[in-house]
Amino acid sequence: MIIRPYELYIAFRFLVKGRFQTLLIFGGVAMGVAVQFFLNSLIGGLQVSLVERTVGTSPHIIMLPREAYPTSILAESGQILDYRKAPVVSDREILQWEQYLEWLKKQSGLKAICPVASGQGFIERNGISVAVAIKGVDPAQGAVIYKFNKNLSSGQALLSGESVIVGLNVAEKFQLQPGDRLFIRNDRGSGAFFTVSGIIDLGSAPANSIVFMSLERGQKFLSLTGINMIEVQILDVFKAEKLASAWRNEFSRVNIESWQERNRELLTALRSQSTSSNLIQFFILFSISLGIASVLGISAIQKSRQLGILKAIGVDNRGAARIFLIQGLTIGLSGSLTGIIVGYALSIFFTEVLGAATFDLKLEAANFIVPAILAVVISSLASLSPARKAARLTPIEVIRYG
Amino acid sequence: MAEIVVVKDLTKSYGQLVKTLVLKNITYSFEKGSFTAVIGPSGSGKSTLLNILGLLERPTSGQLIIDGQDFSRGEVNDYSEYRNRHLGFIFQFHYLLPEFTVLENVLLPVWIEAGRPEGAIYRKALELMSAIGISQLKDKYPAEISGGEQQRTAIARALINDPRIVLADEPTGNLDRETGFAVLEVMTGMIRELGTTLIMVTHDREIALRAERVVELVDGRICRSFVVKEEGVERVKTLLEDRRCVFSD
Ligand SMILES: Nc1ncnc2c1ncn2[C@@H]1O[C@H](COP(=O)(O)OP(=O)(O)O)[C@@H](O)[C@H]1O
Ligand SMILES: [Mg+2]
Repeated sequence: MIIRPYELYIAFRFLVKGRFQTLLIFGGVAMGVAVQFFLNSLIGGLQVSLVERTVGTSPHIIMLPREAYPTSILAESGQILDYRKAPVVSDREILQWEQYLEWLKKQSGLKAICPVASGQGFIERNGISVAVAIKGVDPAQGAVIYKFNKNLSSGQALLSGESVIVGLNVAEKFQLQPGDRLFIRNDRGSGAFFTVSGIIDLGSAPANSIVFMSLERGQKFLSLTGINMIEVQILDVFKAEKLASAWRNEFSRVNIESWQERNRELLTALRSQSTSSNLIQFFILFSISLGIASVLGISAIQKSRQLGILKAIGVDNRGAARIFLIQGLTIGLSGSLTGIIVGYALSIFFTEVLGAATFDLKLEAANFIVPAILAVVISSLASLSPARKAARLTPIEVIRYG
Repeated sequence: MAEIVVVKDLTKSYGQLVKTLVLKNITYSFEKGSFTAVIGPSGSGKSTLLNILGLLERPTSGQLIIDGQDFSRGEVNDYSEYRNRHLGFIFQFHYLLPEFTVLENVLLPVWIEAGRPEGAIYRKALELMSAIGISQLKDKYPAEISGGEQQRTAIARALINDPRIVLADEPTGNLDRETGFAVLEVMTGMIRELGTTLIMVTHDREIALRAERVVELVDGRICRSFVVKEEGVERVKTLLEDRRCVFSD
């Protein structure tokens, strides 16, 4: 489409001289884009913060020993062999776990892969006995998943020998300080002394009831020959479920869980949030497009006299149509641009001045690109009908009947 | 005598089912560079004829030749460019664009033809406007000037692209008599000076007297036409007084 200069000239003049109507639709578009940008950033930020709080310092996908599976109590002949045999068995450890580790290391998009010896222990001190979760982890990988350095509230993140990092709840309950020694008993009654190297705050009560130790020490403490968990953190948290289900197809002898499965409520909340925000945005777009279409439609009728004259003195049907398309496009573009700026300002005002959010807004291009493009497309579409009217109008209608 | 507009057996009818024949077999040649007045009672088809000559409306049948080019077929939209380049229009209700200043209105045809006008055309527009007596109004909007001034603006707009033909439909019909004659004076003066062909519809016989040729339409037909110089002004006056131009069908 070649736009001739006079089409621009006349379209802009119509816009400038139709001040009130122009401002009306311009304002509508700008407001629509601004609100959508703001809303997207707000909800995006909220979701990121929720997800970050939930899974930021925990594994996104875990591999566990196969769940309980049935065993046969019949001999091949069909005779019942042993009534006392448990009808199901479950593996205590991941068999041939090194093989999984090697395979995972070849996958892309993973941030950390941590072999874990996981189990239960009991701390006894000053006459109190409390159950704690024991996690023997690969120190380097564990540091990535649990962000030891970032979340350490005191001491240092040292996991070797008898050194352990204890969760904040455990530390508070037993008034532990870095350097303190504590006795942890395992579920078979034996136990060992450990030294607190650091105290860590992972943000939630269950996570803060963990005692971290080195993988080797954990294996020994829990009497494992191998490991019973592989914890994986990935780069894009929202891909966890997809990856997990792909891995499930790959391996049948381990149980694979994504954070989404372990946090159903959160996921539902996120989804319904997105749905309601999409619904709001749909209605915003809908009312904006109605507004643009009606205002441009009225303007086309109001300008039919001018169009008749213009056509008499040489504007052709295409030119007349483009005068209106240009108006729609101009309003869409300028309104969107203004909307982006206003939306940005609104977000800054909301967080910086009002301090209304405890989280950062997710101010990213995708949050305004889609509404802005939609606004431009809608404005152009809304100007189609007046453009068609303008193209159809014959000069004689105006010249004869005014 | 050079002919600039030739119509042969031109008819125009309106309506699909019930056809109203508005122009019936019009055959006439308009002389190049002359001022022809088309007169006749209201409803006789003057405006229809003029609009067809101005390529704003299409004939139902017959031939229309302008400057040797055949315009008998095609759509109104096909001739936008021709109207812009070679035809000038002045209507009864001066039809200026209210969003544009007087100068901009005058320059609109140039804009449409070639984009932003360069300096030479600005000077030309201003000269034209001062010859017509509206150069002091150049930055005013149509709503801010009088009817006579608006019509002068329309005249300048009709002339800016050096048209071959200027078509005027009762250009003074909406003005008081005095203003009307002043505007007419300016218009005919300018057009004579430029040597442009002028075809003007009027029902004012006094205005028709100023033309070189007169065509009288009655009921969609040419009932008579004459050259003023050949008949002599006095005889033309009596001819115009005689309103009995009746057809026998
Ligand atoms: N679009 C149309 N449809 C039907 N009849 C029309 C139309 N335009 C004009 N006419 C009729 O054509 C006749 C001639 O009209 P017009 O050319 O305007 O006459 P004049 O200009 O001489 O007064 C009138 O009877 C008018 O009613
Ligand atoms: Mg008329």
